[in-house]
Amino acid sequence: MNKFIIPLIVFMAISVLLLWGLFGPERRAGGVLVKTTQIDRSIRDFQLQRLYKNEQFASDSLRGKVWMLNVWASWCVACVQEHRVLQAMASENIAIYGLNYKDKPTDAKRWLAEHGNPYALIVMDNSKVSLDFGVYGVPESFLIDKKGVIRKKFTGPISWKDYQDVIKPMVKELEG
Amino acid sequence: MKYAVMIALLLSMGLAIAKEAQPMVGDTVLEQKIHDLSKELRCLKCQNQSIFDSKSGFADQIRGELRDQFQEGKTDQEIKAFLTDRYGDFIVYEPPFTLANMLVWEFPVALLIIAILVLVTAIRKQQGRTRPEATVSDEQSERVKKLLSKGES
Repeated sequence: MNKFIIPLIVFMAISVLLLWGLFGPERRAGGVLVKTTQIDRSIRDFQLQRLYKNEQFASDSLRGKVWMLNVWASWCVACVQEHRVLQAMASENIAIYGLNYKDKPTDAKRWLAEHGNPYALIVMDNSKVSLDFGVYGVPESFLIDKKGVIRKKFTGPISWKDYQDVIKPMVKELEG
Repeated sequence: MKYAVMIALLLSMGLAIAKEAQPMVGDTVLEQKIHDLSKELRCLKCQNQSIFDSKSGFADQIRGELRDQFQEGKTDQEIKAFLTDRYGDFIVYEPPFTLANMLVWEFPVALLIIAILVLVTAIRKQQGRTRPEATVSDEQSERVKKLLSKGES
């Protein structure tokens, strides 16, 4: 019997490692394996065309402010899902800036007219800015501190729980 | 007259459409570069497809970026570095040489080496275990000889 103890322990250790790989926390997020490199890095400042006004918006004008960049599109189904959360956030004075991704201005405007507009302002992506933020789908959101450093990233729709448990306390802390 | 005009128009239609097939793009070297590099990149939107294979908007965007950067004279390595900086190592198929990756890739090799070592030592042990010298007295060997020769005589 003793002869088998060591191989058994080794086997168990390998099994646990493999199961961890299959079902561990990294895999739990909908099977998403993409680890973001963006956290705790300064944003690459951008200048983009605004959706509603014919003028440019420069991201460095938000230094000294805590804000959220929300990447969305009118064709994006999951964006509808998180929209009521964004509305609630906006009503509690969290500054959300929209980055309209692979979309047509007319479609974007129609969508906002239908669902409501939680954004402080919206800029239209030029396919370079979304790349700088490592965006590969919508919605994605970035919580950015006063120095312009990304503190938190959400891939996929923001849930009510995300807002209450993560974003709200974090914004309070960052603003304090 | 009406018919003549109609026939003339119908005939000219072919002329208007006829045109030699244009190559899709002018710069074949550039296209080849984009083609090659896009095969080494993973589409994050539609995993298990490369940027080359995928028809997703994301893949489109990356191919556009490859084109822009190649036109700026960037090398494959520089573009890969640019992309992994933004999207992480996962966007390139070839894994980077890190400690964690080394463990994953070398673990089976290490296991094999350990197994061979265990086997070799086990065999060595077995060989070293010599059988106890049989003690046979002269009397006994004489008897054996006798017994064996009996059958022949």
